[in-house]
Amino acid sequence: MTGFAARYFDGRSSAGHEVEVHVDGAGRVHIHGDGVTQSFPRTEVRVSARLGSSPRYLYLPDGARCETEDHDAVDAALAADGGGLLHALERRWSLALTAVLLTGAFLWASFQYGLPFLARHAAQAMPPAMEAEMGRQAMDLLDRRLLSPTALGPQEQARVRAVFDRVTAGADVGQPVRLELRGADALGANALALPSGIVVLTDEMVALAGNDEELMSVIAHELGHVRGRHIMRSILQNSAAALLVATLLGDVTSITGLAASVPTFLVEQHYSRAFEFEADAYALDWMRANGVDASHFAAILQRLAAQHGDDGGATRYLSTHPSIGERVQAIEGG
Amino acid sequence: MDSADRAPPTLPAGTPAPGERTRHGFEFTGAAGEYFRIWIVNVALTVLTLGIYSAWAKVRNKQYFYGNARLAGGSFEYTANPLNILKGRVLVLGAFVAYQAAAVFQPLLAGLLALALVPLVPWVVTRAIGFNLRYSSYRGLRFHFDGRYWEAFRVYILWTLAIVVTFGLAYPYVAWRRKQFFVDNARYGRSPFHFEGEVGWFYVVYIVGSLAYSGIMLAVILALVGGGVGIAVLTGGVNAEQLDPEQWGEWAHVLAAAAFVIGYGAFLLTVVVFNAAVQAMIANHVWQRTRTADVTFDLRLNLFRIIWLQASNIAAIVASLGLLIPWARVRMTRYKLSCFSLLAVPGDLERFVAAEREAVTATGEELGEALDLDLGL
Repeated sequence: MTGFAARYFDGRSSAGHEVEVHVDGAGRVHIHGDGVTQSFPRTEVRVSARLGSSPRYLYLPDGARCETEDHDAVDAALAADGGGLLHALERRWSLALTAVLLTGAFLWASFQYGLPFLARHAAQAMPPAMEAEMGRQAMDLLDRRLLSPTALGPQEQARVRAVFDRVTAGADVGQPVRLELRGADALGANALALPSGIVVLTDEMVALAGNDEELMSVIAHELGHVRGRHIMRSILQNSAAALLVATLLGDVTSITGLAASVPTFLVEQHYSRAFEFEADAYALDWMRANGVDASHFAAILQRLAAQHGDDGGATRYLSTHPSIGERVQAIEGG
Repeated sequence: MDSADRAPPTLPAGTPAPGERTRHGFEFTGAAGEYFRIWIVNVALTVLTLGIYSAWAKVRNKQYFYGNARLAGGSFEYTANPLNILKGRVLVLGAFVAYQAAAVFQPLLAGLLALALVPLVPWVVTRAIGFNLRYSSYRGLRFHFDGRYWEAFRVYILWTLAIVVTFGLAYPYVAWRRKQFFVDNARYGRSPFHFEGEVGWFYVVYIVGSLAYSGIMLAVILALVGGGVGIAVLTGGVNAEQLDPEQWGEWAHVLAAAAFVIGYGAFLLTVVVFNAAVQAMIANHVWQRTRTADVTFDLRLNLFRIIWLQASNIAAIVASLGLLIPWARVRMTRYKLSCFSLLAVPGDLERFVAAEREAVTATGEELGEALDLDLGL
């Protein structure tokens, strides 16, 4: 017969009673002392799970409860599982360390492989109508905020369209593509791939290209984005990453809620850099297959860098595009 | 129900003189090392179950902090069922996804949806507070919340509109009304809480607070700009003679990035620490002016201690990549509870009586719980 001291509350008033709790050989729980004499079958008494050194509660069938700190006695008398599985996990430092490593590894794998994998499949499964709607909205937004109608003459436009058609003719990117020409004072020389296969070329980009081959390389790069559904994937990936970081740290009040934006931001940059390299690789494949020298791509990238003042260096982790130096290196190496 | 049932039971007639009362201090007995192991198991299981375990983690977490909050030989208990919390979370997640999808396809529809949700807010708020209180108990008695929809509607919708209309001038008043709504509708067993806080104090705290906040922000901005100019002058001087332009370009980027990170960090730190200080001042006043039956409360958080704890906690959490979160929480809770006490006539704490058993309906409460409406008390 094992016993322990506890405080008894009847559930009807806040008055506490110092009692002794015993479990007899017939499986009955006896509570007595300070004006309380009760007994219940062992099976009707619910024992709270052990949680560190916080108090244990015995819930009695009539709504009363006993509160005690004598964990070992409670476990010996009433809890056959020794405080439960969770307590077993929480008790050892070695398991805590394992949990740290496991969490770290899982998070790393999720960000590195899990989310990109899910995003790729979700982007592929996206209904074309939804993608078309997103493309239309993105184009509207850009037209309102950053872009103006193209200032290129009809002949120039026809030339660019011919180049575009030449690149797209032999390319299977999984969805129809469409060229949009725009002026862009704010963006300068730039090319964008929007959802649903819209490729935007700015007048400044057309002007920057010294020849058709350079323009082809830029268009092929954007087709790489279209083919990889990069814009959809980054929308999906980035929102999923933000959700994951928020779930993990969100419970931790506003401190880390605010700080969570920093890791999320870095993860997003990492993803878009990977997409740039993927699009570059696609462009190079296309150029090789169509007999266009890779040096054209390197040339226009370098001119672009000179214009935008990109010089690589320590800020590259803060930039959505990898440093152009890195990309040119990859082009020349490959 | 007759009047004897409604009155706080077995109260001595008349308010006792202060000399007759005993002070009972709150105490937090949790330990950082022990809580770290509980926390990391929670985090690991939450991650490995893709978030499903988070409801159980939340309950276990709360149980640890409640159980280790001691007062006059008793502890607090959190008795919510994790399954209810999980249901609420699934519901909220579903609504969120639906809303996001609507926002992509039909922004107008999403706007209408958001508008349609407005009347739900007071309902969710009262249910959320109710959920938290009903599943909290002390000495075997539950807390309760009697807040009604229309009062919540006035406090959370109408007065919130008043903040907008008055360009924020009504904010301290609304903050005061919200505390009043919370405290005046809360009960311990059958015994209601009473709030006697003064709206003037809320104005003092928020006005002094915003002035100090503007001052600190200005100082931070000036320090950053000054630092930037200083660096530019220094490196500019070096640049002319020693660095070739290409290298200088790289350095400019490094400096810009560093300034951005430091500036952003300083901004976040100021906001969070400041908010903690203001909340501490408000909490002190609210508890000093709260009573139930003949029991009065007393909270005396030291402003500078709070600022120090909050700032050093953030620094520790960031530097440890989050691993010191448990330590920071335990440390803050221990300090806060050490400043919290109540005054009661000997024997008073034994004389509270339970409300009649109530069927605890779960709908809506789960929803509120899932939204994690923390009302700061």
